Amino acid sequence: MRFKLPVSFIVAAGLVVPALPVSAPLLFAHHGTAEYDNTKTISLQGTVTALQYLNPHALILFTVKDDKGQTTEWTAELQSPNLLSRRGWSRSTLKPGDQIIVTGRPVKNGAKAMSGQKVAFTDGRETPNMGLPPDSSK
Amino acid sequence: MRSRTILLSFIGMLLVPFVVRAQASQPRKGAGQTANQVSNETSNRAPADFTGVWYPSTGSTLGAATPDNPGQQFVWLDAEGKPLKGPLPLTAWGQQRLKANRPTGTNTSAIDSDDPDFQCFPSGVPRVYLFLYPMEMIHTPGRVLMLFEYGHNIRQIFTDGRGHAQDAEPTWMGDSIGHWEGDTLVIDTTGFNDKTWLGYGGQPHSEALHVIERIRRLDQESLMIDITLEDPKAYTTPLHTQKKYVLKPDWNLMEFVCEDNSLNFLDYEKKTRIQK
Repeated sequence: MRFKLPVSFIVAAGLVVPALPVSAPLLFAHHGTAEYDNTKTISLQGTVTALQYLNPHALILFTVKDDKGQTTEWTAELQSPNLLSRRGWSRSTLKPGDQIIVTGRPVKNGAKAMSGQKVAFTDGRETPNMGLPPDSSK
Repeated sequence: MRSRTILLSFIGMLLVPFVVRAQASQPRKGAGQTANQVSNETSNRAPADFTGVWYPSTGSTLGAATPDNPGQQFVWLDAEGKPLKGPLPLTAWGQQRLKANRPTGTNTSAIDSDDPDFQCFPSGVPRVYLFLYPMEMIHTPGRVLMLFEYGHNIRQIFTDGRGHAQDAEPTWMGDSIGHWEGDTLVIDTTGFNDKTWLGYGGQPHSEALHVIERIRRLDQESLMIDITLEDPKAYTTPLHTQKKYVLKPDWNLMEFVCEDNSLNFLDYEKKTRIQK
């Protein structure tokens, strides 16, 4: 299940780094993806406040600082911990203070929230892929 | 939800001896290896044994209807097994119910939807097969158990020859009895309430829903579930669909409590659930 999404950029001073297309589908088995604007992909760089490793969807709470030094609180919704754990995630994959870049889709209602489809560290390390078990389409 | 918790606890107590027994005989090895052992111990008269942890396939011919929701919609088939074209064959009652339901969609977010799943109610049958979580099958004398990780849904399929429960209160997951036709387990389920949907699209059903499932192994590593729904109050013709499951020998079910963090987090403005 690979597909490319149309990419657009949200311009908000200092908040957004260039977004690459997200190749992983959104797999929100609980409530679907209607909350999110599937025509937009954003990437935000920020500092982890917490990883809430809760079913049915894990959340990354993180803060983003703009070029004026203003801090904004963001939330990125991930898949369920059960699915993440089977791809190699754990509750300590992200720790408070970690510098990360989250790529995903913004919510439609304009809140400071997004889906998290890819999470990387600013030092170049990556987190395990998200998604279904690799052979689940056979 | 309290009554559900009590019910699940009760069912859980019923299952404990069997789970303990299965674990004792096979301490956390691959489910594929357990099959014969458990079969010999507990279901020596069953012509097939589906014991193991299974994962729903998202294969394109069996329900991958949208890129964002692989495997999360059924492909409905006609009597010849060809995909149904056009809308589902709803009765007037069914159309009224469909119209009244508020599934998620372009203009309806999850928090505005009345999808029973988002309120953490049990999924019903066959919708329980649409969630991308594993299901464990356990054979015990006179019963086949289906334990669904998602929402901790449980189905007990009585294979001891009994008939359906009489004059019972309708339930979310229905009343299931089963028998074997060769290597195929045929499950007959009635006694549903009308509160669940058949899918994310708000497809309704009535308390008259009658589900017939035929479960067979395609090979050692895969199960096929052929599903027929009859609900003359909601649909003018029977509906057919299929779901394939793939064996996950190294997996165990995990805890999944929907209420842990259900929809509250979507209320971003109030942030009711998100505590720093």
